[in-house]
Amino acid sequence: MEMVSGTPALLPRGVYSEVSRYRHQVFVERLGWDLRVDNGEERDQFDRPDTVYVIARDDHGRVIGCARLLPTTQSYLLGEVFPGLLNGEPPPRSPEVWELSRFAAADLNHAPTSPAGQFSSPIAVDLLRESIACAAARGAKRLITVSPIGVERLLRRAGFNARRAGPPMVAEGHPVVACLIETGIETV
Amino acid sequence: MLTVSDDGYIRLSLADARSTPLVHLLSGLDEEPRECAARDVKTCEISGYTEWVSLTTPTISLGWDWRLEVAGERPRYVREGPPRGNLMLLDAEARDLGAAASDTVLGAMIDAMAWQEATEKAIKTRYV
Repeated sequence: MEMVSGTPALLPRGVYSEVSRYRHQVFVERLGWDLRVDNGEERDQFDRPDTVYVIARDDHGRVIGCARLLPTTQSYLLGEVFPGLLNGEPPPRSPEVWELSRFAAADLNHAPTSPAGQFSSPIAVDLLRESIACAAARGAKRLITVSPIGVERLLRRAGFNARRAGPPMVAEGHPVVACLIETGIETV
Repeated sequence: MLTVSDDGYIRLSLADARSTPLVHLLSGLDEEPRECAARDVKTCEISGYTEWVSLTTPTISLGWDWRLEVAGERPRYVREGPPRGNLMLLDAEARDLGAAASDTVLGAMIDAMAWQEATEKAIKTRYV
């Protein structure tokens, strides 16, 4: 497995499109999320030239995981779509807080291995570590993310320093929470 | 008065936490059965999670995993693992207990709560 990261312009040729197709397969086809799809590629308004992607690829170069990092100083998913998850607090706007979204770690060449369907250890743990390091290198001290409760449970079990910013709410039939993940070392 | 700290935590003494009622929000079953090989087969067939909140503003949120233990005469819901939430407990000097210690104390607090009946009712309503 190898990791690549960067903005769309800095990713290896073709990888950005491949990630968009992978996202479609995971989030739309597998999980049934109602997302905008164009020609088999899933992208939204937060996929911008300054968006940072972290991508896991297998030994054949196939995408087996992805994450999207957005600075909270610009518009971001939680701030725009899920502010109600923040317990009445305003969405963070800080160069030290980055948002992690569209996180998936599932080898689509194999059967699903987790209840969440988007989160398969050990790819997930390595991808999350790489995402945290990537954000930290850009000044992040904390990540914020909208996560299904199942992912929050797996984060905690894997030892990441994660907690929630407020109570869960149900989105499209699934309970989700805003999770805060410190970019320091895991708790265990 | 409850406030949310910059790091997202609501900070409370254990006494204040205990005196703040929590109500059931939602519960669910694990979508896949957990690995049972290491345990007595009677104890691990069904598992899930439950979420509880305070009626305060801001809201205290606590969730935890459970398993249905059927070793005795009647199935019993048993908490499993540390809770997840937004609460940081304080010691007598109003200092943070720390995440791990706070979770341990909150776990004991949960074990003293009567959460099983509401969870069972929610599971039956949602799945049966």
